Amino acid sequence: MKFNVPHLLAVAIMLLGFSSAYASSPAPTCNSSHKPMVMVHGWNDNTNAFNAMKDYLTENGYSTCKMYTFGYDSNRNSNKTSASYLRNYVNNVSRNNGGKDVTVIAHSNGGLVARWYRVMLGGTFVNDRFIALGTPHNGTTSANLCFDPACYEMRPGSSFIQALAGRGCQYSLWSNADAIVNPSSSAKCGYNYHVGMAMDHGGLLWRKLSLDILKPLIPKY
Amino acid sequence: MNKLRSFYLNTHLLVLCLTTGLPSISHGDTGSTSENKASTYFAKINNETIPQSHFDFVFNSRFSFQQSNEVDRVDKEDLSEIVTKDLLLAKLLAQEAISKGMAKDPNTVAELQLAHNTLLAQLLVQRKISEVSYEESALKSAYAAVPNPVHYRIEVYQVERAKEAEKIVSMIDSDTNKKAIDSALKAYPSDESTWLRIEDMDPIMLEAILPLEIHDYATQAVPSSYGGWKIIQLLAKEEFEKAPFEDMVEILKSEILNQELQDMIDKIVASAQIEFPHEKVLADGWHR
Repeated sequence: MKFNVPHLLAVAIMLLGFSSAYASSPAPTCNSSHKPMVMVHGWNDNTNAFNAMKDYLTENGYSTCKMYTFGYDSNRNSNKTSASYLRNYVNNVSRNNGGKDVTVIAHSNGGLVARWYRVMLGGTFVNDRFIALGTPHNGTTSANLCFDPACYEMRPGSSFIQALAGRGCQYSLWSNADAIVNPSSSAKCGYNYHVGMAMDHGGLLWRKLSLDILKPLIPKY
Repeated sequence: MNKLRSFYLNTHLLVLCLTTGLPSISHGDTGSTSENKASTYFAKINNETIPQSHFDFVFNSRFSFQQSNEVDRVDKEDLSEIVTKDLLLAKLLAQEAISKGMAKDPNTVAELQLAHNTLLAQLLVQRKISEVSYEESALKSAYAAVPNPVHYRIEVYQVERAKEAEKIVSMIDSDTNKKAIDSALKAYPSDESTWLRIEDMDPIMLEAILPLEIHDYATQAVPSSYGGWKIIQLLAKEEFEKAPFEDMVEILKSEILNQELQDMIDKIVASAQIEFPHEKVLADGWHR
């Protein structure tokens, strides 16, 4: 029998995710002059969350070899700790790509991790483009139903949200049909793009309407 | 070292304590009067008393919170009035709920018992957190044990039938010309991965990838969660330098704390006697 901390302290709710299962086979491309991008998943999710987005971007001329999916343990670690991991990760990605600036694309709670990294850990020196999809910038009442450290940080009015004080945003994609970010307007921060009335929280990651809006925001070079 | 709960559990628990009304800082000057302290109770409502300790507890919690957070602050007199009103109202509403028989509702009874357990569990974790120390030498040795991160990029071919997967694996095993293998695999859908870290990969997948040189195919087919089999080719491998010590300190502290918490939990569990009325094996192998 194995107990661990989350068993005792966490009540899990699933955020919607999606994995593309070999829907297509885009031709492998690797343009070394392309700009690297780091994808940061949401709470209780994993790097597979970005499979569909990766396929879409590859089909649209982005290099898969410049796509990095950052995994973190959202059930155990505070977003502040995850942001420290992200800082080290992005620094390495930049270093291994000739010191290029890095684009960060984050979904849901991943956007809060990225904002902490940008605001509190000097992230904007390396991360010059940040796009958040369905991030509860001002907190979400859905997080009242879970009890991980990140959940407390995602709650409206948390000390984490207050400390960020609206800083660190750049581009945000949001939908007023997002039932996880509650109120849905909490996903607005910086320059905002409303993705449509019928876009659910997970759909922001893989639905064409969302990806079509996302694509021009990601610089290739 | 296990990646368990973070160093920032301190912050987490601070929030937790505030939501549950626990004082996160030990009681200091409460602002309550000496007459109040001399009394056995703070107020009496419908012949029921509210203990003075309840007032002190809530007042101290809120006072500590507003001292340590960027929130609108009120002076002690106003805070005292707010706390008084809150306590009286809570007591009155509770009395009304009891008069309606709500305290005997099985769900209410269960919820109260669960809240009691949760509170004690939180206090225990909080105490443990306050006891953990982070010696420089422990941090340095933990840092020394951290390996350089390695990233992999792979091509995954999805083969539906086991016989076809076996045939391709046998070609790989027998050192068949790579071009012939490439050609055989062209018939199957494939997916090029992003850069993946070891910790983000499925252990079975990792086992297949780790021994590979660039452009090699794995000599074992990996079962796919979507059905069928995966034939894996390593496209690229990239070793990163680990972050400097100063950038790792908070992470290392988090790992030390998590390990301490996990050790505490393991010890408690190991010494516990757990019984269930019906013998049953749960999906994850736990006996119930």
